[in-house]
Amino acid sequence: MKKNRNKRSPLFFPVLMGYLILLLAVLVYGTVRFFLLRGDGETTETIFRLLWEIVPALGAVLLIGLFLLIALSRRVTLPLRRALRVTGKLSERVENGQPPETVEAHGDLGDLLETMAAQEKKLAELLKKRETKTAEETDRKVRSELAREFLRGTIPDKTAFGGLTYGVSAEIRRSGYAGADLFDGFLLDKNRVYFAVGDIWGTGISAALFATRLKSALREQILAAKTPAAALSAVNDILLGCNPDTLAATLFVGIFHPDTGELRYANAGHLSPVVVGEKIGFLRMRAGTPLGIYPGAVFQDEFILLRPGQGVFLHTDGLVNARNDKHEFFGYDRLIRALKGLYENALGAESVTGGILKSLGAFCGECAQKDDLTVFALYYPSGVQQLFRPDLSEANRLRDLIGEWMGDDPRKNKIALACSDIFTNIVNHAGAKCIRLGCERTDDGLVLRFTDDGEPFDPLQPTEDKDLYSFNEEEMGITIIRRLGGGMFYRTKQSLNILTLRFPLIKGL
Amino acid sequence: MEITKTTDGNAAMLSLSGWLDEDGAPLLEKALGELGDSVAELVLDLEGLEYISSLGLRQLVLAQKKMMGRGTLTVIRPRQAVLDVLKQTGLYERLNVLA
Repeated sequence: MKKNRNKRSPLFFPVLMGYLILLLAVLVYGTVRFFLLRGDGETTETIFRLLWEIVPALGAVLLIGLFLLIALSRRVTLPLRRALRVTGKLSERVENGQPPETVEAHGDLGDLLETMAAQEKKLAELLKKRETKTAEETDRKVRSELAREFLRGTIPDKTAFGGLTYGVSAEIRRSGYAGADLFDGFLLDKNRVYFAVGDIWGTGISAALFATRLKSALREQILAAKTPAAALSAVNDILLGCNPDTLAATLFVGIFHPDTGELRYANAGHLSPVVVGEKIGFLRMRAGTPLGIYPGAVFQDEFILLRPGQGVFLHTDGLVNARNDKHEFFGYDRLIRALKGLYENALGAESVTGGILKSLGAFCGECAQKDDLTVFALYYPSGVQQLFRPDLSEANRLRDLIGEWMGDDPRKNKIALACSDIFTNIVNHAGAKCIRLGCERTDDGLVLRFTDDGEPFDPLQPTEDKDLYSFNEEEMGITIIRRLGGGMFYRTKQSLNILTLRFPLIKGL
Repeated sequence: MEITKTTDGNAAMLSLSGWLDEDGAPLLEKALGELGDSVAELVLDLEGLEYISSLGLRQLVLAQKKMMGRGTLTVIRPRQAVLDVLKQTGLYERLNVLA
C-alpha cells in the first residue's frame, strides 16, 4: 500500500500565521508608540524606551504562546497523528487478518481514538463475516455445480421416446439450492414406453449421487421386465443396502402402451398425477412409501386406460410449492386451471409443459425458487383430437376447429377447406360410423390426422389427370394440400383408416 | 421456523411453528441432535407448522430413526395441509400420527 505521510505538523501554518500577525501588531504598535513618545526628545532615547516596553511583553507573549503550543500539540496533534496512523493501517491489518490495534487514549481526542478503534474492530468482524459468508456461498455454488453435473447425466433425451401416436414432454428446472428432482424415460420396445418422475429428499452432491444410483437401479429393474411395483420393491432394497445419509425419494413409475392407451403404474409416495381430458382430476392410486428408508415396503401395480384425447400430467412439489413475492404458493388450483385451459387450446404434450411453465413464470415473476421442479406430460394420442359424427353438418365445426388450431397460419383457410373436402368424402363414401380428426404441432411441422372406421380406401392411389371440376371432394382436398406443400400418408391399423397430413411450419408463427 | 423444546423426565416435546423447509430443516436437525440419549419419548407437535417440504419430511424420518430401538416418536396435531402431505407421501402410515 502506498504510504503518503505528511511530516509537517498540522499546527505549523496556524502558528506561523499567529507569529506573523503578532510581528505585524508589534510593528504597528511600535511605530505609533514611537511617534507618541518621541515628542521633542531624542530619537535614540525614545527607541530604547520603546524596546524596554515591547521586548519583555513580546517575550512573555512568545513564552505563553510556546506553552500553549506544546499543550495544544499534546492534546490535538499527537492524537491526530495517532488517529491517522491507525486509519492508515486499518486496511492493511484487516487484509492481513490481524487483530485490531490497541490504542492508548490521550487528551480530549482519546474518546475519538477509542471509538475509531472500536469501529476498526467492528469493521474487521464484519469483513470476516462477509469473507466467511462469501466462502460458504462459493462452497455452496461449487457443490451445486458438481451436483448439477451429476444430475445432468440423469436426464434422458426427450426425443428418444416420443412416438407417432402419443406425445411426451418433460422439463426440469433446477434451483440454486441443488435439490434433486429425477426424471427418466425411454422406449422399452415398440409397444411400451417407460417413464419415472421423482423427488429426492435431500440436497447437494449426496442427493445427486442418490438420484444417479436410483435411476440406474430402476432402469436395471425395468429392463429386467419387472412391473413398476416389482421394480420399486427391488430398488427400495438396493437403496436400503447403502444409505448412510438416510436420504429418501418419492417416485412415480409408469409403463404406457400406446396401442391400447393402457398406463400401468406404481407409486412410492409421489404426488398424484393429474389426468387431463374433458374432465380433469387426480389419478387414483395408493400412496405407497418413499424409497430408501423402510425395509420390506410394499408397492402396488395399478392401471388406467387412457381414452383418445386424454393425457397424464406429472410434477414434483417444486411446481405447486413455487412462491411469488407475496409468499403465495402456485398451488393446485392454479395448476388445474392452467391445465384445463391448455387442454382446450394447446396442441400436444410440449405445449402443455411449456404452457404450465409459462403460467408459473407469470405467477412467480423474478422471485427465485428454492426447489427443483419437474413437469411431465403424456398425451394419448399426441396433440388434440375431436370426434365427429358422420354427418355433413359437422363440416362447419371441423373448419372452425382447424381455423382455431392453426391460429395465425395464413394457410389455415385453404387447409380447412381441404380437410372439409376429405371429411365430406369420408362421410359420403366410406360408410364410417365414427370420424376423428387429430392435430399436433411437432418440431418440424403441423400434423392433421383423420381416423375413421369405414371401408379401407387409399385416397393417395394414382388417379387420372383431371381438371379441378372433375375431382370428387376428397381428390380436390388432396390437390389443395399438395399445392400447399403438405405431405400425405395413408395406412390401415386395427380396421381403421388413418390419413395423415403433414405441413411444414412457417417460420415466425 | 421456531422450535420450542419442553422436557419432562425422559420425555421431550419439540413444538414446531412456521415453515419446515430448506431453511427450517437444519434447525430441526440441530434440535434433534441436541436431544440427550436419555430421551425415550419424543413428541413432535406440528400444530404451528404451516408448511413442510421434502427436506422437512426427511427430518421426520430422521427423528423416527433416532428414536428407533430406544423409545417412541409421536407426531401430533398436524394442520390439514401438513396432514395431506403426510398422507400423499405415505408417511402417515409409517409414523405414529395423532391428528
